[in-house]
Amino acid sequence: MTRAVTVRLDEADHAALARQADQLRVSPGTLARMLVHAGLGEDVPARDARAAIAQLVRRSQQRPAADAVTLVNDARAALGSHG
Amino acid sequence: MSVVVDASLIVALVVADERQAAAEAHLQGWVESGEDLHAPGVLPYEVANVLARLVFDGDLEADGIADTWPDVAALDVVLHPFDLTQDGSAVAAITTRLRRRHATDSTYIHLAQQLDTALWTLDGPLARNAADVGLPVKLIT
Repeated sequence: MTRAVTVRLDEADHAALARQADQLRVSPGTLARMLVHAGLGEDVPARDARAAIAQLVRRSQQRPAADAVTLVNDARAALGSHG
Repeated sequence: MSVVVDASLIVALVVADERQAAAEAHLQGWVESGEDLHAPGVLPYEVANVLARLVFDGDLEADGIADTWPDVAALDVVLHPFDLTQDGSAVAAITTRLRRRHATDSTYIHLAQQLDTALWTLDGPLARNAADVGLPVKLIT
């Protein structure tokens, strides 16, 4: 659930917000929300790790079986670092 | 207490690896008992490469990547940067002991030594190799 707040900015601040948002490839509204979060010292609510593990496993069951060690070894080879 | 987790444990949650249940049980147990999970800073790059490979091979929808990362992040693995002056020599020494040509595995083992714990992995050859030379690596089967 989110609630909207209208914030009026002067031209310079609006331009700076738009410029930084473009650099970060997010919308000005998203960047404004990120800045409000940072300013209020509110972290993104931590997800429950146990639920996240269960969710990862649940989704994996919809995919073909694979060997995790082989995938990681291939990933390391792709990073140019595995022997 | 802390444990160092190999990327293979994380990837085993993402794909239907035959050791998935064991990896899941260990991770759930560590989370439940309040163990801190640690890994070298290279881990996200390894996971990213695996996800890219799965998408390329058609085993994962591109949208699935967006669903996966928040759950991986929720594991709250503490990532450790590679200290060029302090870690380089130690990692090289471990790599030599393992008689390997490359050093990624050694960064995980070195971190485990620094934290006075063990690296947990699904990689049998690595675990046996490490055990032969007295390095702290534990195999999940």
